[in-house]
Amino acid sequence: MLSTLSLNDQLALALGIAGLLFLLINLLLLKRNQPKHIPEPSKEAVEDLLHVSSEQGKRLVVGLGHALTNASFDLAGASGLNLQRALLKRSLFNDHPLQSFSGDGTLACVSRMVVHGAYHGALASELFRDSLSQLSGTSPLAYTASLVNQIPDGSNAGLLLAGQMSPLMLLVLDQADRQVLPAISALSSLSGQAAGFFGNSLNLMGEDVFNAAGKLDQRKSVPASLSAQDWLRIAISIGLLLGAILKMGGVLP
Amino acid sequence: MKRLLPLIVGALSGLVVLAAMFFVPQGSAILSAVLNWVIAVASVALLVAIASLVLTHLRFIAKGKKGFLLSIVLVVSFITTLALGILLGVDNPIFLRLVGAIIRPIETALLGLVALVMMSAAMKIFRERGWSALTVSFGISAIVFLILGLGFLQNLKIPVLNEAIRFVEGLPMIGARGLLIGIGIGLLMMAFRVLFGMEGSGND
Repeated sequence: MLSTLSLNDQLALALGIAGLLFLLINLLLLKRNQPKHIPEPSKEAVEDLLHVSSEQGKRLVVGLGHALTNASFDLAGASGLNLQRALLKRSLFNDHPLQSFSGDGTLACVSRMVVHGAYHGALASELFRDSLSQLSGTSPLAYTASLVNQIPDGSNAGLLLAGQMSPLMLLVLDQADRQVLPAISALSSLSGQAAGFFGNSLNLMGEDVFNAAGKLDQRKSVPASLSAQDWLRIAISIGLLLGAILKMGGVLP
Repeated sequence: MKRLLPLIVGALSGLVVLAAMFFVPQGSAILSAVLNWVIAVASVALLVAIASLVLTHLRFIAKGKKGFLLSIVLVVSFITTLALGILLGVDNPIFLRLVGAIIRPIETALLGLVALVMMSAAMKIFRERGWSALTVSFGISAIVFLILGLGFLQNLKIPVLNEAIRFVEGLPMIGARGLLIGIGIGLLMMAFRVLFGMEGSGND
């Protein structure tokens, strides 16, 4: 049955299986010895922003993007939910807890579940307010326009953009810049990452966007998947080199 | 058990869909059924989210919260659009023209604004980040691709030059592929975490 698959599909399957194996191995290894978490300067920024917001008694704003999945049904839009959960858990009892805005119905519902789950988990369900996670537009333009209007609020301490966003989010970053609001963008779309480079914000790129919370998210699966990512990256690099050599040698068509 | 059963159902469904995507002729029926479910669930989720949005803004109006005038605009526009959509039908040309006449100018203005902000940000990048290898290479590549985009050099029809232009035009793809591989790796790991229930809804 596997022989009916194209070479691309076979490669994708092999990479998927390798990724799963690496993740399982890392999860098993983590049980025995505490893993080293690899903090990167960029990831410290999210933690620093959280501290600043707690000290100032102000809130952080998270833009979760305008879509949960794209045409290829990946989960890129969900990358902001990890960040939302990690930050919310540390600001549950603040005067101004984390405020998130979604641009998609499904994303808004899942985000609401994350907020509810965080309060429920902290045995403080009575503090849950549905306004902490809002739908703010059902198209990329409407979402951007709405987010731009949320930035000038005096009770904001910082802005985090995560998930699927178009280059339109440059308007949001520009607004944050004008309001002297520190901003971090961890966008899973390529065009969004390119636009984030222009903005006066800390811009995470590549696989880093899926672990924007950095040290704040210390569930066992997170450092395990970080290590698995490193292993997979090495495997892909070796594969690419081998492929190039085989191609030059005329072995591959 | 309360947590385990949905987890098992979710993981199994995910694995079945994944298998169906690889084995297309055999699994296409499953994929189309799942796609229909996704559309139905996403539509309901959107309705729930919109209802919640309207309720939130109604609460803002009732409490007289700062900026409640904007909430009034939102609620009134929503009710008007909904009423017109129900009365005239969503395919009605008058309804479509009415909605389009409001949305299109706003969208065009926003897109124009993006172009201006992008240009201004490209200028600011040198002031804010200084003259580094990154900013200089960004500036040079922007100028090079602007010139190439004019098509003047291509029209000279010099074979060697056209070959060189083709090579230069392919360079951004190399960087993009590198980033896409990174995004793919991150996505794969997140998908496994979701598929095997390592991502909770927040109360884990």
